[in-house]
Amino acid sequence: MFLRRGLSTAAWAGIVIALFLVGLGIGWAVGKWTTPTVTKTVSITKTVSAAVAPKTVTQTVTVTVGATKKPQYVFYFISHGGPGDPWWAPVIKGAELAGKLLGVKVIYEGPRVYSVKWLVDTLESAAAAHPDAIIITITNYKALDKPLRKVIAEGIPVIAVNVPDPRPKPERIPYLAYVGQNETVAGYTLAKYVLKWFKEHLGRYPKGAVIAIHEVGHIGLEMRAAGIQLAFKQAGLTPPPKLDITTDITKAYNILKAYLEKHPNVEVIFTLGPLGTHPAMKLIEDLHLKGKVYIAAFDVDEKTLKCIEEGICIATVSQQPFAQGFLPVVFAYLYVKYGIRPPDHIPTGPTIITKENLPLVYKQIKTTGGA
Amino acid sequence: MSSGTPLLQLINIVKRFGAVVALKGVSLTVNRGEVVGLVGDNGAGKSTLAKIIVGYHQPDSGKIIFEGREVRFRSPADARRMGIEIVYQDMALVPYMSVYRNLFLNREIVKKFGPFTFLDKKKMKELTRQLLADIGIKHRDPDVEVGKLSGGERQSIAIARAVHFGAKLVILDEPTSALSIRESERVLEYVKQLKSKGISVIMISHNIYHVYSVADRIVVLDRGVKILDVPRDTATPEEIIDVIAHRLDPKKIQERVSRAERVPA
Amino acid sequence: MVLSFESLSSRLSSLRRIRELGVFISIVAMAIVFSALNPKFVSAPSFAAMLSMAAELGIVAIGVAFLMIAGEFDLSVGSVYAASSMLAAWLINMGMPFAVAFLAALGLAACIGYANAVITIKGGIPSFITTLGMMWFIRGILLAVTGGFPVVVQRSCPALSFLAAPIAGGFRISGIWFVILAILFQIALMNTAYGNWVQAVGGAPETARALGIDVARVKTINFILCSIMAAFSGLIALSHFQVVEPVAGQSLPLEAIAAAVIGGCSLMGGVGTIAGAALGAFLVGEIRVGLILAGAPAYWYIGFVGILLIVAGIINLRLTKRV
Repeated sequence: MFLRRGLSTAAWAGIVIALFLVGLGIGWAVGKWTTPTVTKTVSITKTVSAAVAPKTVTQTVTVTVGATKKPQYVFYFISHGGPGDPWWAPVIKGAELAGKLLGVKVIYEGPRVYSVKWLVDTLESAAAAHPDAIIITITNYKALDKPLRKVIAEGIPVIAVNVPDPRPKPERIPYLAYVGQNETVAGYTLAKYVLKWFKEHLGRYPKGAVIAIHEVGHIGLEMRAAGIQLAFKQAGLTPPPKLDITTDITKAYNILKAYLEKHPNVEVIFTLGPLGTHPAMKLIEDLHLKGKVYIAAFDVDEKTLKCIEEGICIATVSQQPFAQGFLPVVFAYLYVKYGIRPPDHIPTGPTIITKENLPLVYKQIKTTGGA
Repeated sequence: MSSGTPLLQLINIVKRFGAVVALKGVSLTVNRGEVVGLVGDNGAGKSTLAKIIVGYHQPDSGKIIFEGREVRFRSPADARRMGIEIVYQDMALVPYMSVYRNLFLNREIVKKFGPFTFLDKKKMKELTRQLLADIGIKHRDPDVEVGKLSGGERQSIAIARAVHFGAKLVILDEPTSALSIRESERVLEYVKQLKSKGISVIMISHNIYHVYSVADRIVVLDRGVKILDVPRDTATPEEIIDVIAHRLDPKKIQERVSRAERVPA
Repeated sequence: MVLSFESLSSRLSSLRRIRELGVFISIVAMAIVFSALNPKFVSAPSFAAMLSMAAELGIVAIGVAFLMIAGEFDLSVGSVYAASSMLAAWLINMGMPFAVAFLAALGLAACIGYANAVITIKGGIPSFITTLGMMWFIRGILLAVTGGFPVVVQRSCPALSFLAAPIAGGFRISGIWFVILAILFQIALMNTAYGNWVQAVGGAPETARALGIDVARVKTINFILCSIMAAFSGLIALSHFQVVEPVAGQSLPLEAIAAAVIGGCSLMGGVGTIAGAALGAFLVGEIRVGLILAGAPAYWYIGFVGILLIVAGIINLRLTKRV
């Protein structure tokens, strides 16, 4: 009679909160119970040489050993690059390999769909686990400022990767080190190289250029584009406009085709990733524009490298993603285990890949799955 | 059956929908405490007439006189205020809500708490229990979802709602069409109860036998025209059916009224 | 209170009829599992993270549920979330006082909600389509206007920061707003005449209309409230992160609908509670944090939510149809 359907959800809320707490208690107990701590007694025999007579002193040291196969440390690697993004695959590989070699459990967290909210929420959740270190991309320093300072104040070491806090040292988030290169710098470096290449090979600057962006709003791509535009502006040229080609290859092909028809003076198509490089390549082949229109690309994959080999692509930029995964884990380990402070900035790129250094790149791809 | 001024008088109601004339000058009288069975084939105009009575439609010409005064209903709310209600076959109750919520829908009993107005659930449930008992639905929890009740119970509740809020004339649109025999009996019983309370009923139905079990008068519409208006015992159900099916000339039956002929029960 | 077999089984069956039962069980079950996987799940920072996520999704879910119960959808909540907070950020950066930015943001949301209502009701278009179109339309404008770059709050605005200000132990005030709003809306739904109309309008709109309820007015009010809730959540996020990206809130509409359904709301309207939707949002937060602490890839949570949604749908259906 008293458990009527309409009976206040308030009472039910009370019951469920109680059950929730009980459940937590049970789980917590189970968790503790399944990770036994074993006490080992270790005898250490020390020989003490005294001035007169050597004495043998036996000390007994008690060592607590966790369950077998437990890694020494737990690091969280939080990045804005999610599972669907092929560029981050070597990063994840690098991080996991480093973890395996060093006996560190590396938990990689990347979003399905990136948002600042996702980044901060994930950071706060990971911090609740009080890991031994956190490696994170400072994709948005304003949003991450307070949460990271809190994490650092709690004693968790933080290493920044792939995107740093751009502010000067006294103002920026006090993470231990930054591993990586800036996407904007990558764009800038590539554009500068392209301009130099044009000067050297054709004696002039390109008459027109366009940036094919395949995902508008994607922070990494926007930064690459911004870098390219900056380089052009600095050289006194009109910055190339951004063209939304979408992630659909057929649409991209047709959008580029239409654009080239409308702007016949375009000589360089900057593609911000393989999703742009592939349709651009096909277009240049189909329209026999080799030698008239060039591609300058980002990231490395088979087709892009072939493109360079054939001379359609002037160069591509590698951020050394594997290093960006591997190195932060190593530096965090050195800090946590041995107290070795890493240098402020550990650059991993940009590496401009041209026809000349292709063989090395092939090796890297073979061994790490990316470049 | 009672005497005195008729409760409702419709005089020459005409209603057009575009080029179609749904009602071609229909006149109808309903007395207090009278149950009128409104029958006819599909498309006869029964629903249209009902909707005009409850204020859902406005007649193109003709007069409506209720309780001796001419009225013009601009909306169902107007008609409801005067005491005219309709219980639709399938639109009477909200199935997922409880009985008491349904009964008091749009007429909720509220209590004030400072500047705020909240539902007085206690009072509503109490009244609901009473009403359910009145209808003869025993052991029913006012919190029960209406969808869980049988069709007959639902129909009775819908009618009870109309009555509770002071309806003087209740129009029932196909009240028994979706019900089993047992449930139909229950509803018809309830309709008879209404009569004893002095409430008038217009019952629209395809089931002549059901109509016969409660009606005092039978009115037959055919393609917008009233072709028969006789006390129930003037004809047998079969004869009425024949009239509707155009197998029998209604005039033959209408004549019997003037000769005060009655069919043996 | 006699504990006979009959009274026990009738208690159990009335228990089964509580629409929030499914989400209750899920919350408790997940709690057991996650705390077993990582005892740190049971800690203040963990709860704080859960509640913070639950609050931001939950406030939107409250509005979405209130509208869903009235029989309509709003898929544009994510875009309203972004647009309103972006407007507020711009106004604050321009030097306007917080009150102006706050009211402007809510005002914008109210207008969008009203537009959704008018198009759906007067145009006769299913709300799913109207709000889907509105969602894209607003998103397109945001992307075009910002060029893809986020809008950062550049001035210090203490009133803004107050919205999601931290209070003891890593918790935030946003949790309090969430609980207050959930309670208010639950009371409005269950204990007021208006709430009764909402349930009727969602459950049987023609019947409601026949009984004299102004169906259009009820739906319009709920559309507006839904958008306002989305904007409020956006402002809380703005306070929390100090930045709003043009792509913010993209997964919000479906997650909010999922939270509502998991909490017992029917997609067809007329059934459900705000409390359930709030619990559904909490469950989503619980799963997110639990998975991260368990070392599983964080995006698995969406897989969990998907399964729970299907299970909830089945439970809801059986509960409504059961005699």
